[in-house]
Amino acid sequence: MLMQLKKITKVFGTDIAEVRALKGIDLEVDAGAFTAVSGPSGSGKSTLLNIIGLLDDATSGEYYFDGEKIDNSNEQHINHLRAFDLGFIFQDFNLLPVLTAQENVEMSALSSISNAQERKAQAQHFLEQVGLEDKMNAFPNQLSGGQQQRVSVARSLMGESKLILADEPTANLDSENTLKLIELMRKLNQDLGTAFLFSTHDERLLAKVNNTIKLLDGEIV
Amino acid sequence: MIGKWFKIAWRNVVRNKRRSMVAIWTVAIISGSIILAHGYINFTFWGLTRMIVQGGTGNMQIVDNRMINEFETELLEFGLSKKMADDTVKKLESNKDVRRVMQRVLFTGIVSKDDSISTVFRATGIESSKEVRLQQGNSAGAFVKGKMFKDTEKNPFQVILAVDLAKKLSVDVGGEVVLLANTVEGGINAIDATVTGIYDTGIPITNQLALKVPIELAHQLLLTDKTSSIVVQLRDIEATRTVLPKVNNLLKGSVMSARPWYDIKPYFKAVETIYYSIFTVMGVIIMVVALLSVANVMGNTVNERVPEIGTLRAFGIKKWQLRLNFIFEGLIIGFIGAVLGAILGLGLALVLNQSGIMMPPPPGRTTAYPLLILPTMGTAFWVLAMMSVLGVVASYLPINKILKKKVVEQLNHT
Repeated sequence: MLMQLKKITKVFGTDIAEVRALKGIDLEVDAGAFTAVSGPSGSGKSTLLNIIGLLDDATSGEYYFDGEKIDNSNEQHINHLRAFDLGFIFQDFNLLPVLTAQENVEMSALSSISNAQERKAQAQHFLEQVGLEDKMNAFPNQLSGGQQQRVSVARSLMGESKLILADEPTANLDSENTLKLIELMRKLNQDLGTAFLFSTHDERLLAKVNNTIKLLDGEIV
Repeated sequence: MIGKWFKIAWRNVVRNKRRSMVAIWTVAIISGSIILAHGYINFTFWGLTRMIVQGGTGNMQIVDNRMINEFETELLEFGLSKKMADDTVKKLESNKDVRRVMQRVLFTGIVSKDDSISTVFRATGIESSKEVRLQQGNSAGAFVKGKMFKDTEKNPFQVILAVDLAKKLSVDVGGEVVLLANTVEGGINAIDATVTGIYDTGIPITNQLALKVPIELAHQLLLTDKTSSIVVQLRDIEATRTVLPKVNNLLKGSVMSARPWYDIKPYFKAVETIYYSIFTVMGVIIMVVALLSVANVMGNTVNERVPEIGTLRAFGIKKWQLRLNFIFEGLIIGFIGAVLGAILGLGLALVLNQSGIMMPPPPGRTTAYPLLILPTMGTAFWVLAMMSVLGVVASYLPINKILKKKVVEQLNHT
């Protein structure tokens, strides 16, 4: 098992304005899984992914990654996990506008791969894998939305991440690019054995996964 | 890796051209102003030094030691004997740092014209040929009419009067006056002298009292060959502090010592303190304004890129690396701004120095002076260093604040 959550809760606000976004979530994700989190808006999908990605703290509960209990107060360890084991694909791509496609991909491995040549080679390899070998020196504003998201996918793979988290990765893409991205993620999952966990409403994406977690009002149903 | 962060910082500065230019020009204008202001203060002290040294004080004066802490109760009581003064002049004239050495006699008395108008005077007996050269290029002490004494060994009975004293006596060049003074033995002596010139001391009160006579006349009038002081002028006007110990070393074992011009004219130090206090206060205010301006720009830059910061944090980029990135941006803005400011300040100084603008006479003075800005490379480097530090501080504050937020808050920042 790659990742396990036990009785995870997340409460926003205090007292009167308190919102219970997650209500005791138990979840396990295996290495190499291709898992979707679905549910209506406000069901807690993004909150769940943020907690799994160590971008946010849970209010209570336990989190294990690779069998190790995560302590959110240990910033050094959290940073190490983000750098080496976790990858992210964002809905808005979140590419740095001043960096080329290759530099954006390289950047994500700045902490995990200290050798610049190795970093560059890996970035080029993953950009080739996502079909952007001819766009390595293009800046984000010179790329289409679909191409930007593929750069984002290549970026998430750097450092040979074990788990890639994607929050609504197809939300800003048209149908054609959505299908291409789904195929790409599925292929990478099968070829590299990297686990993917993503939130989505997209039925086409849900049809491709081997496991779907349905969330409603902060609970798995 | 540091180079990578610098490259990103540089690209971000270039990316936000308009905003970066606002910050760079703010720093440039402030840097240029500091360089100009310091250049003007520098000129003020440069001018004041020359006004004092060339205005008659010299770089230093040699006097009897008692003159420093005591008061004379009798005329020339602490005066230097002729032998002592001549030997000292000879010794000093052979020193390579010394340009010229002059003996002076100071005394007071009453001057009158045609037995009808009389008034008090404060006289200096001088070695005229040397004194003329001491005051070359100095507007204070300039002749309004007539000229310096001539052939004083043959005819010592000459006098030059300060402009208001001449007016008071209604005497012009070529006119005759009678100088009446106490002798060193306590008697009274009088000598007729011809007015050869009228000069402006630059100080209103002194213009009513001052006159100069050849030292030979002073000795005849006072019935003595003593000297009040020996004025030393150095080849390098700025070398007083380094040459003073050497001169005092030469005088070791005698009853004399050398006093530098800044001790003889203590107001210089007071003026220096006031000017630098004002400059420091102004400097601090200007720097705070600069800091706030650049911090505002850097604040906007950081604010606009909070999701980028969150993204990088999500990929395990450390906080110190992100700090470094923004610090480089501040550094680039501060450095480029300061370089532009230095060019601006030095260029403006050049233009102002060529413009021939005359400044009004300072308080207590009668002569105007040309505006000069004397910026120094030292100030330019200091400004460069300060503005670079300022850029660093201005960028550190906002990025540090943002880095305290959770990554999820950074990613969702709008």
